[in-house]
Amino acid sequence: MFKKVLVCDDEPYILESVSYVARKVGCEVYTAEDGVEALDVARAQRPDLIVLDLMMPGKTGFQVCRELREDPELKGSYVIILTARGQESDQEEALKAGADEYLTKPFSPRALQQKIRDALSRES
Amino acid sequence: MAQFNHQKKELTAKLVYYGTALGGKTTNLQFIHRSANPDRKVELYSLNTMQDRTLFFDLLPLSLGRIRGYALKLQLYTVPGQPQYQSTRKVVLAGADAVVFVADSSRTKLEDNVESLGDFKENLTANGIDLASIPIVMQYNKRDLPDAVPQEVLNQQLNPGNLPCFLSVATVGTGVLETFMEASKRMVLSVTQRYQMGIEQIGGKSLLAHVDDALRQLLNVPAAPGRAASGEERTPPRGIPVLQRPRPPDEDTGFRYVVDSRDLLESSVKTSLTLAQLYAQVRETKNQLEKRVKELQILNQLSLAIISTLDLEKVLQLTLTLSMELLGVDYGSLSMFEEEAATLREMMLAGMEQERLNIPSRPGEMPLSYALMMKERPLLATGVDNEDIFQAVARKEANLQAFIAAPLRIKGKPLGVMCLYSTDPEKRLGDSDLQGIELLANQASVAIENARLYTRLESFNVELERKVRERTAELEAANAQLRRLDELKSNFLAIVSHELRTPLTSIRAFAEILMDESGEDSTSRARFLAIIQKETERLTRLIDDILDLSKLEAGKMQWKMKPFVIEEVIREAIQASSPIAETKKLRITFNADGPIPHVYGDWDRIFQVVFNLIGNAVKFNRVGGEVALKVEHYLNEVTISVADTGIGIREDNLTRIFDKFHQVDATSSRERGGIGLGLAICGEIIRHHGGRIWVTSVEGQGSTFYFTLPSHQPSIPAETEPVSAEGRLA
Repeated sequence: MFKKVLVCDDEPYILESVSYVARKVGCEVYTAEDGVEALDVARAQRPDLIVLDLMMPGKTGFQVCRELREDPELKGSYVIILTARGQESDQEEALKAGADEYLTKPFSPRALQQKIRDALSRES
Repeated sequence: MAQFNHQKKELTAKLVYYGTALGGKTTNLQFIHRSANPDRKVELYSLNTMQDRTLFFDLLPLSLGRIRGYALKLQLYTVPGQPQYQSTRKVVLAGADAVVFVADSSRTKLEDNVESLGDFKENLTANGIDLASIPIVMQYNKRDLPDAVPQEVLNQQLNPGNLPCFLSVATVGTGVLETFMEASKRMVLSVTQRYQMGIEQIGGKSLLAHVDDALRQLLNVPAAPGRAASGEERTPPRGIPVLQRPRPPDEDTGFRYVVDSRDLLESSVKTSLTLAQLYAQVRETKNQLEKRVKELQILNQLSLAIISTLDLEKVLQLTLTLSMELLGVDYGSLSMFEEEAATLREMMLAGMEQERLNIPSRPGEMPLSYALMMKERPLLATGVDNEDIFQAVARKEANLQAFIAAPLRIKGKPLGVMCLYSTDPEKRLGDSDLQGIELLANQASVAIENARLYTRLESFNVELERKVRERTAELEAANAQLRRLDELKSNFLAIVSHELRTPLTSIRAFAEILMDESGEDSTSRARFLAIIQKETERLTRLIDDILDLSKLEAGKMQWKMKPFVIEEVIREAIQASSPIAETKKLRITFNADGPIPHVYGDWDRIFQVVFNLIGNAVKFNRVGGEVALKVEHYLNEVTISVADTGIGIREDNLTRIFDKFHQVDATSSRERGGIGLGLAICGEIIRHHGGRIWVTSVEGQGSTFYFTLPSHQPSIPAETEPVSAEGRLA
């Protein structure tokens, strides 16, 4: 069975590229363009892995991450933060909010592909 | 001979009462002594022999006050009438400046009078005095005697030269003061003429009138209406004394020097005279010392009080109060000189509401108080001394008796002036008062200067503290501003970095995908390449915008300013925007309201603004919406508006929207697709043109952006091209 992945970013091309990478791994991909939509889709689909941007309209990636961790059905999902904000303070805050992995833009699709594979194999 | 002391400006004149024994000479002097004002007399000295009534001589020193700066002093002497004291008479008469010859009216004394007159003439000659040059006044005394010889007889016997002559009853004072005044006036006139003092005429008033006033002050005699000319005989009505004072029985006249020899040698008389004069000096000195002790006490009080305070107001108040106490005067004022305003301002007033001497008599002139302040030393003005100033002050202060103006100076620099007024006719001010006030004013000047310096020091301190506080606050504000700027810069850099990374992310991702996935179908490959191209363009635009904005902000933008037709710019911008408008099926309209004048500016930059506004209107519009452009002209301004039918802008963002990267300023409120530099650039460009830019919006219905440009004002209207109608679009 394909694993479910939620990709969340307000930049359509980035959304498209990440989704492409996840599909290559063999996942069932869902997308969201802002934080509020991300939580809605997550609650509906209960993805195993979420790739999350930090700077989004509606709700920030930090907020989304915290709410995911508060949801008993979603707190076990693997969260990869993918952001253009590369400062150490952001990384710390993201990990505090409950993120499992922190990648910065521009990213390497190859590296992201490996991260998704690793995360999903660990899950199973 | 009068003693004339140039250094002290003092003139002492000698008046001798001559006549027969027991003729009433001493009685004359005693009456004058009782009448004289206590301030101006010392004591009556009598030099007696052991025999009760036999007088050697009397001495009465009197002061007439100052006339044009000269202190006039009179010394009244009597001679012993008994024939055996011939040598004494000669000594006493030596140096006489005037003589009163007292004749006894008793019929039995007719012979004695004639003999005495002969003796007088002899002694004059012996002393080298010319009979014709010395003023002589005759007095026929004892007119109350039943056997009094008629005046005509006495005139015949004693006064063939028709010298001024007075009838008297010395025991009750009748005719005494009149005789004395007449003799004194003649004496002063004669002395001043002899010394050519040049004071015969003072302030339009004759010297005689001055002396007359001084004498009246000395003797407390009111001015006589219709004064008779001197030299004329005056006969007081018999039995009705004109001037009379009660005589205390057996009055002690003070000093009594008793000599037991009946036949004195000339030298002993001289010694006695010297002794009497020395005694007079000792008494005078004693009086002065007593007064001085009082002055010093007050001065000491002032010094102590002044040392204990640095409060200027208190110092001024003490100065005036103690000065008035020292002089015993009723009112006064203390004014300080205000250098910048060149005025004197009254600081302390006692018993008066206003110091009128501070008011200039004519606008623009300095007031009288200024002249008084500029004097080196205090000045006393009475009816006698400094009469001209006295009159000037008396014009403003009725009832004035005496006036002292004390300049307050420190190292020659004028600080102010203290004016003291006496309206009490009994209270006379003199030289010793002037000395006391001078000492006091000197002390006060130092104290005032100290208080002023202290006050200035304090205000300097306060000012310094204020400045330090101000500077600290300024520095803090500048620091806060720097911190804010630093924060903005960091924030800006973070945002720029983020904005640059976004297209770069897509470019890199799809480039790598294309590299790895060579087996991808051609449709996907074409799409990925198109994305890479779009995002590369976006990156380029972003870099251009950042460069533009930094050039604008640094003032390094090159401007090509010229007049142009705004409608042309708008038409071209609409043209350039039509491809993106078509993607959303938008309609762009343009309407010019009436003839629009040329505007003055940079064509390319204004195009950039219009193009950017249309771009936003398209980007945030709904599909099938509308973009409406409009140009209006009002007064000296052309207003361009761009209205859309898009999502609108929240009210709290309406002003912030022109800030750099506003749209991503708060992560939670980031708008779709914006990069946030366009409006900031538009704002900078319009501000450079002297125009304004703003936006109105209804959320969900659309926004309208406005900007203004000043219309071109050609200096010669005839030479400019008229606005062509074809520049407008329907």
